[in-house]
Amino acid sequence: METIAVYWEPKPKIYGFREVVDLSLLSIEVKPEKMAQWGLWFLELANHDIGFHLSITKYSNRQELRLYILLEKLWADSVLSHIDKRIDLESEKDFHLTSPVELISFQGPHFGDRYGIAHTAFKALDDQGIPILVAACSGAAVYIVLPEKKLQEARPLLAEAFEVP
Amino acid sequence: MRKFLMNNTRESIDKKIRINGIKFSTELVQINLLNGSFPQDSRPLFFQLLAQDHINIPFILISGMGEKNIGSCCVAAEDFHRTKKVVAGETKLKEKLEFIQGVGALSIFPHHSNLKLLGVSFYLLSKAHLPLYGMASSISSLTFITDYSLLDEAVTTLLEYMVLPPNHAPFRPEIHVIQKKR
Repeated sequence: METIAVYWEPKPKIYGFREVVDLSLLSIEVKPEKMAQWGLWFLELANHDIGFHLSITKYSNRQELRLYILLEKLWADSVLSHIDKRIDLESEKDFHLTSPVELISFQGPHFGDRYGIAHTAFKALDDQGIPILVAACSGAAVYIVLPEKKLQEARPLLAEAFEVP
Repeated sequence: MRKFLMNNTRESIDKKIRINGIKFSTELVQINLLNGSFPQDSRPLFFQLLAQDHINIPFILISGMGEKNIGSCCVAAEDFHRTKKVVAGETKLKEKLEFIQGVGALSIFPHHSNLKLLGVSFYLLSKAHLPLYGMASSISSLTFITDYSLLDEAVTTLLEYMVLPPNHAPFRPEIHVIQKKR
């Protein structure tokens, strides 16, 4: 049986912001046939207790995926050194580290089931020329990765666009 | 090297990873926003048009780092024709959109912000030659976009190295939320 809930609010409510600075964003171009290998390398990194704040895999085409891992800046060197020993020179050109970067994330009631949430968030930043490095909306959460020092500009804009407790 | 990795992996995943649940989406259509002559300022237009037409986008990835694909998102299969109609009137949009029909989302939770669940998932899905059109972490889950018709096969593959609590099975959404002005 399907249950239908009808929901409306003039300004989307969120439960508050989560802000993290001093992060590094790894960007890796991965061929689908190499995904299993990257999976093994991530397992090795997991054994060193290296965690992530956000992970994204974006489709480029049937021969290519773009993988992003957002992690603490203090772990970036050990991750780079670990992966450097494993990837070949050809792959190296497709491996980038952007650091430092900042993260703002938030969630709200029924996000994921409601239209217009992403538009509200991105418009607030786009209209003021705040660059977005990467962003993801999955489940009820919105994650936006920003260049260094942009979080302090982005927060009031998002706070204006959403109803914050 | 390969042998070392295989042994290392077996040690890492010999013990099945305990997860709390797996969730499927309904059937979706993936829309890729291509770069090239697609200007960055057309991304806001795309999201504005879908919002104006009350089309929900349950999964979104965007990047502003100069790649060929500046974003991917998914809409419900039932909203596909409406979405195509909405963008058809915008010449700078319609040429630069790529549609992948018949996809679905599979969410596994919790990931505990640890790379282990991600690594095992990549390893298993790739070994099983299951297509991956996108993936994103959320507060507690990892969501993978693959072919809708292969969701059950993907779960069978993942459960080789993951274990659900007793009496748990993958579930599909049962509540449909609609936004309406009073």
